[in-house]
Amino acid sequence: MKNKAKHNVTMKKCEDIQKSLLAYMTRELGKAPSELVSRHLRKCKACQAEAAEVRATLKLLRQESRAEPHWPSRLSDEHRRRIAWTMDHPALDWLCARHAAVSILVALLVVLAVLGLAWRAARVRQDIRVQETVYPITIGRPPFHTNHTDPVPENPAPEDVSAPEATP
Amino acid sequence: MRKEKQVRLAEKRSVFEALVAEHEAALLRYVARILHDADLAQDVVQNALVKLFRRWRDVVKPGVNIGNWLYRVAHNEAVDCIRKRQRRQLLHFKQGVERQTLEHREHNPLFRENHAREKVQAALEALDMRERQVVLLKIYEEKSYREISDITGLSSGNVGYILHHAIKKMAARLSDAEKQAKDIEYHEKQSET
Repeated sequence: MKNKAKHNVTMKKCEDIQKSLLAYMTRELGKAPSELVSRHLRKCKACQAEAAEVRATLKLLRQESRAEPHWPSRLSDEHRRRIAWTMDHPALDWLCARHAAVSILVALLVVLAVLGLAWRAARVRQDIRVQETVYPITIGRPPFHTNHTDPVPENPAPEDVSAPEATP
Repeated sequence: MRKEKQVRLAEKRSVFEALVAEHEAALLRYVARILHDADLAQDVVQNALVKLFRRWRDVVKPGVNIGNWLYRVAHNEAVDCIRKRQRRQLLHFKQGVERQTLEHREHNPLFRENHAREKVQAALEALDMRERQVVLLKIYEEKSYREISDITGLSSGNVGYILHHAIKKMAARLSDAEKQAKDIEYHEKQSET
């Protein structure tokens, strides 16, 4: 009730009436506000002029909408086929819909795979280099020894034990 | 289990096809009005319908108006399309192309016949995208304020406000065009005498 009274007070202003003219003409206003507007329009010249302008613009727009070329009312067969493909291949469609994200992911995986391979190759090369420095490969000699100490000769040379000096 | 899934898919498909049949004409008309291009409108509507199929669970449920959802998606797709087209036009020396089309229009006898239509179209084009959307939905598609509010995400009051300003702008532009046309006619008559 209070709202209604407030509405009545505010709707009396010409500015408010003019703002609601379009809603009035397109039947968007309720019954009571519509009656207020029509009552106001009967006595206010300025609002009548405004209403005439709005009505003329609406008329032109409606004429234009009727005179428009006939836009196709059905999707073409090609476009229907595309929609049918979506229905038949939901998984592929899911990938297509996220093609940017999928492309980035695939690119990242490829980069990671290449980096992994390069790292592995570097490791192998490093291992070989370490082995070569510790046990250099020489011709005529086996590359690796089972024992890290130098081989002991089978018949070691007798130790040169000198006779103790004669003591006086 | 598998059979159940197949049955559900078939049901979904038939519902989807019914929705396509129900909304395609209105969507094509609406998008073609925004883009002024029937072929592009077909692409846009196709994308909107494909999106509906992809987001089936989010959209097809009680409380969601599918028609309004489709209008919203189609509008966003159309706006994307316009942006892409503008970028492409910039790349293809926009000014040169526009000059050619204008010259072509002036020599075309149909242009003079459709002058009133062209004026309304120009006034409509002069509006910003939001205003144009609201005008198209209200005047051309005859949607209610509540439906427009659902499509655009604006409040009903805001829809009324935007429409009021859009119509005022169009009225001003149309009366300017009228005055210009009268001036030209007057000058032409004077030069003849």
